[in-house]
Amino acid sequence: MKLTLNREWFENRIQPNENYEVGAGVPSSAADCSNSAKGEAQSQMRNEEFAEKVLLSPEVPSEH
Amino acid sequence: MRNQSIVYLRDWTSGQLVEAVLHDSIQQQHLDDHRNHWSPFVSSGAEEHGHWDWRKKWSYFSTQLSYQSFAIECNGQTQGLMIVNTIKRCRIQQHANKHLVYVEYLEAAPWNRRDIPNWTRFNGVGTVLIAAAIQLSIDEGNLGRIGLHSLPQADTFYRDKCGMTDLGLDSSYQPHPLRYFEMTENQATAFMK
Repeated sequence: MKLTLNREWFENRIQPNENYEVGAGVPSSAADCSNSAKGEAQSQMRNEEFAEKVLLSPEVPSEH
Repeated sequence: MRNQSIVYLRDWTSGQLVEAVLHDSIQQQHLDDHRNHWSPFVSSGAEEHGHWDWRKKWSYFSTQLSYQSFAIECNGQTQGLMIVNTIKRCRIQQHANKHLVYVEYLEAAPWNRRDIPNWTRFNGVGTVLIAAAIQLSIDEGNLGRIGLHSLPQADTFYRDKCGMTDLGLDSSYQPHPLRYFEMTENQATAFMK
């Protein structure tokens, strides 16, 4: 994957002294995020379960 | 094939843009940076992602084709890491069942989250990584659609800065429910403009 944004985009999008926190994913304090393959597998399983709970609309075909 | 892209971060002190490199694959040097330079600054319990072990995450996810990783380097250091899943589907009703790129994990280096003496703080790590997720979504034919569960301290970034739709607290995301955010193709277009 190549990201081909020009410098002007970064100039406009990243403003000086912005103080946003960033971060996404299972909190490390979560009991099942044990930093182990088992923990990751549990996390993935949860994500799969989560995906199945998505409000699927049979009228909208998948793009894949 | 591994690719690199020239991107920019903003030096917190000088306010100037600084050239950086976006890698579309986490490499050993990034994991080494995390272990050697990030970990010493992480205090237990102080941050929600304080104990993320990227080496174990990478070793697990890199064996699966549906996952892709990214790293940003600047000033000779790894400044941010991200792992995404390319086979998840949208929750937002108008795009339900369409594929998106789901951000599994995203983290900026500790010195980019707070002032740490003798370390250059950069703005824009999250912005660049979100742009990478959007670009991957476009490349995958998903028109820029992305989704993620935000750590609580980052809700404002995804909602206000990125313009993502807040679908509320996801109680199915146990044991620590997080807010789920999604970016539609129109929001992605606006973000990348």
